[in-house]
Amino acid sequence: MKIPLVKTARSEQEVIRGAYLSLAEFNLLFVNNDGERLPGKPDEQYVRIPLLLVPMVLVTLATFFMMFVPGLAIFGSLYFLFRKMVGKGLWFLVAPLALTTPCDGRALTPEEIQEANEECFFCHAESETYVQFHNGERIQIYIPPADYYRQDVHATEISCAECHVETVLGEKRQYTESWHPQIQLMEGIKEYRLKRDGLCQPCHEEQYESYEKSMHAKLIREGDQAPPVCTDCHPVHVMKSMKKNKKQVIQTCAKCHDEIYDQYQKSVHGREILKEGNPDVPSCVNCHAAHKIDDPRELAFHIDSPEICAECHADEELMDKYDLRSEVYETYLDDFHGVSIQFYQKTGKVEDSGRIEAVCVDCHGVHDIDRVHGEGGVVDRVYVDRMCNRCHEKIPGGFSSAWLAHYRPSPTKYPLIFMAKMFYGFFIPFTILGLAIHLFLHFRYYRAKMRGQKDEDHG
Amino acid sequence: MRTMAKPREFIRFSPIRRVEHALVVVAFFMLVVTGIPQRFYESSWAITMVDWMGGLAQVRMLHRLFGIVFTVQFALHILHGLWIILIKRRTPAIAPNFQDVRDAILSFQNVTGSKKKEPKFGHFEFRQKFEYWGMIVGGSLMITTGLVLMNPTLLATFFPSELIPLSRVAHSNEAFLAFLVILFWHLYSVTLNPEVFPLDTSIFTGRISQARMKHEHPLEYEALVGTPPPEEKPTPKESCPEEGTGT
Repeated sequence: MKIPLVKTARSEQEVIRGAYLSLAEFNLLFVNNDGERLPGKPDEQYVRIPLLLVPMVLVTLATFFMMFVPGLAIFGSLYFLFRKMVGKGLWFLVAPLALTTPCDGRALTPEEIQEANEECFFCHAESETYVQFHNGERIQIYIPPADYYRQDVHATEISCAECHVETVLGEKRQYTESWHPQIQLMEGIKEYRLKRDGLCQPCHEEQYESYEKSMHAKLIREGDQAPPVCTDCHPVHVMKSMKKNKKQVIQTCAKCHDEIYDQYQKSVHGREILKEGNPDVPSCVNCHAAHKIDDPRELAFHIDSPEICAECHADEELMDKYDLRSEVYETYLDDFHGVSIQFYQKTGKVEDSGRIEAVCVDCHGVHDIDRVHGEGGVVDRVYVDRMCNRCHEKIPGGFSSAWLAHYRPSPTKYPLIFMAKMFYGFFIPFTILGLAIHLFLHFRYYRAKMRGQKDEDHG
Repeated sequence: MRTMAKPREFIRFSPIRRVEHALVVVAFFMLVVTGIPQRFYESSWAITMVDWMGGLAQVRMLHRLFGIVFTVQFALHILHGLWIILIKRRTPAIAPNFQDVRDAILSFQNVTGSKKKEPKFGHFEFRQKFEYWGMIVGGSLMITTGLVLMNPTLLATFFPSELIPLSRVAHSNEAFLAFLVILFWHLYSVTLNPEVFPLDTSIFTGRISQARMKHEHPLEYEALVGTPPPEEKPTPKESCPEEGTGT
């Protein structure tokens, strides 16, 4: 996407926008892109008017009011002066880098990228330097080139300036030696990251779309600054693929969700993955998804949640490996709660369900999930009774034996129910057969009678 | 009760039986409509039906409501029956006896063609009795298991809780069985059955034609009129209700 050099005739609104753009070029005015209101209080957070601007505006206004025509002339000439100075042509002169966005089909070779990055590393490889934000937060802007080229997956794919693009009034500008936005005027690191949210989108379209649907993005849209954007989870300049590294995923989520991490690391899954490094057990993203993170407190999540567990626990091959039964999911679906859950899943109407049905996590726990049987097993009938009691009020002791404990009725397990099933299994087909014979015989009988009548008539 | 209403028609069902039947039709239909999708929960048509009836919670509510209607009717019917037997000291016509077994064997031999002789019936024939008692036995099973499923915690205070899943298995299978029997037997024999097609109206009007009375219930006819119906070969002409009613 090249930015056109020559612009066609502009509307009045665009002229005014252009004026602001011009001011922004000189860091006299810091604005958000194109009037798009980011969450929070954009007026306070994103528009900062340096003190210098106040007398300027006053003078301009005074001039404007005192002498309308000369004022207009001065304002107009100022605008055109600014416009000419910071216009695209001038900017091109100071920016030796090609004006490109990532993923537009142009691929620089690693050597070309390294060459283009030279300009940045002229300063950023110099020493340990920081930028301090308005609230005192500091970020390191010292990027050791050796480490960067060794660790970051993007290092050989795209140049610095391809990510370091600032959107100013809807126009994209790459950082150059002579132009950097005044990020020290921002409130903090979070504001900087929020402002640059969407930068990863052109290449990582799918992930970004998923992220947009997540509850993190939703909260940000509602004005909360705490939830993460891309670069909160994917650390910049040392970016690595986390697909294979479940531990790193867990540590990433733990940065904010520390209470849940405490529970998780004690759970059967957490112990396996954090101590044993077992790749079979789920990390955070296996259940919550990496980018499209739904609100787990919502009823829809609750109702679909058995499928999450089923991904592994209904996998016969995987469960055999750990001597676990893979029929737990199917038997759950066959039982009282599972049947209702299936209705809600299939109709998609969870609101009018009237009540919440128990799913896997209601009895087994969520992040503190543990072994059922064997060493460290937590489940006995008393435990199940207690779990029943969470929803079924005033249950008598032994109520839990109504629950078939994920077993299929068989001659050894729940023989009574097995027998009833067998009885009807034979009796219903037998009845159908009997009814069919009855219909057949009755029809034959009637036909014979009709024939007899006919014969008599003829006789 | 069984007196001649019009010259050529007999009263077959008293108003109380007709009302009972109408109520059972409504309750049974509603129970099937709301119950069958709950049994076949894995099928897409079941989901559509539940959706159409306003969601699972509402379907359950309706099912229980009509279950209670059916239960009350059932209880009243049993009480009424007991009153007839114990207070009025009368044997109901629906009571089974050994003659029914003999009739059943003879009827089977007749339709399979091994015997020419046809059985003669009174007010109720063995098939009707079997259907009725099937309904009574099945109905009590359905009511018991239904009440268990409606309030499982109450049952669990007195009985082992394993009866709850057992009730579920019994309730859904027995219901399906009843549905099949009603559909393929009862509804066939009162509608599509060529002898009564298009509809056997006697349960709604309470009346039965003389021709059908002679043909289908000769023993009852004899008891009422005093003389046995003339020896006749049952022909479609006489057994056809439209023609029979008019004459």
